[in-house]
Amino acid sequence: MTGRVPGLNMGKMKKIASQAALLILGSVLAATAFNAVSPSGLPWLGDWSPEAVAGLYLEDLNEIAADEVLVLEREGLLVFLDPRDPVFYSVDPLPGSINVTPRDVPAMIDELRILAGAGMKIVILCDGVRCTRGVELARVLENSGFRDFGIFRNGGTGRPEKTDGASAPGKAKA
Amino acid sequence: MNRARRVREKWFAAALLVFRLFLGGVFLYSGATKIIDPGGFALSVYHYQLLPDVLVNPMAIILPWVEVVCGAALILRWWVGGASLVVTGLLLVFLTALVITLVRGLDISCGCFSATGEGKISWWYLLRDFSLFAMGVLILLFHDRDTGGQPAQA
Repeated sequence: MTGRVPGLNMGKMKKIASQAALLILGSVLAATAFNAVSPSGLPWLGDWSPEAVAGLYLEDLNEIAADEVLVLEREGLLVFLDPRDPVFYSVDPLPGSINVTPRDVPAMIDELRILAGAGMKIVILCDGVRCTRGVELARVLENSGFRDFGIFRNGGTGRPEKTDGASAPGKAKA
Repeated sequence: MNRARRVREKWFAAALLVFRLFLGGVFLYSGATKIIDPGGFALSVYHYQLLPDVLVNPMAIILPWVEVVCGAALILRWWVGGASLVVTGLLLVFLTALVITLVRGLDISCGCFSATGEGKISWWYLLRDFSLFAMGVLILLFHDRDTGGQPAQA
């Protein structure tokens, strides 16, 4: 590289710094204006509680309501998939559920297809408030071409209690 | 100025021009994809677990516009010095966030060029961001030479 390094004198550095400040200020104003008018705009203060984040993860999944779970269970048409680690599952298994981790999907997918084909409703239990493994299992099933399932948010407790319908944080304004 | 030096200067100016347009394009594209899906980008920011919850949404609202404005400024050769300073600073912040994430072993999506659906963070992302950072530093220091010696607007 030849020549001296330009831009290192104080006057030029001040000029660059003020340009940077103005660019940032302009960006903030543009962002504020766009966010105010955009239908997908965000609230400035989001709800990032674990329940709300779980709501975001579950957004495009078929969430099964507690009363629907009860009806299916009564009719004997329900198959619960518990995505927890086998160690945790063995300690506290939900009677009648099948322990299927995301890793087990390739080995279990044909069996799940047969069950769904026989009219059974496959329901993934959430493994906790965030439902991390439950959502992971759902994505793996979707990627394997199997979409005939629902996901039950209150599954973390192992009991089909009424869901509270927590609001999602990144949700667009109504 | 001898001929060899003139040729070197010319190549250097051409390289700066390419770097400026490339970096501007990268930031313009990156910001635009995040503006389209602010909710998804907010979730990406949240996944890094580096900011307090109250700052997640403001960051998701403002950062994409900073990227777009500075990317456009670089491409249009408008306030190149200021734009390259902001872009280089942002890349330094992104690099730091990536290193912290990799060290912590978080299994999250980068959120760099789209709000969702990107691959998991790896050391490759660090190399990519470092290359962009190096380009940013070069533009910041030598931006008035990127047109073959004709002074830019600074």
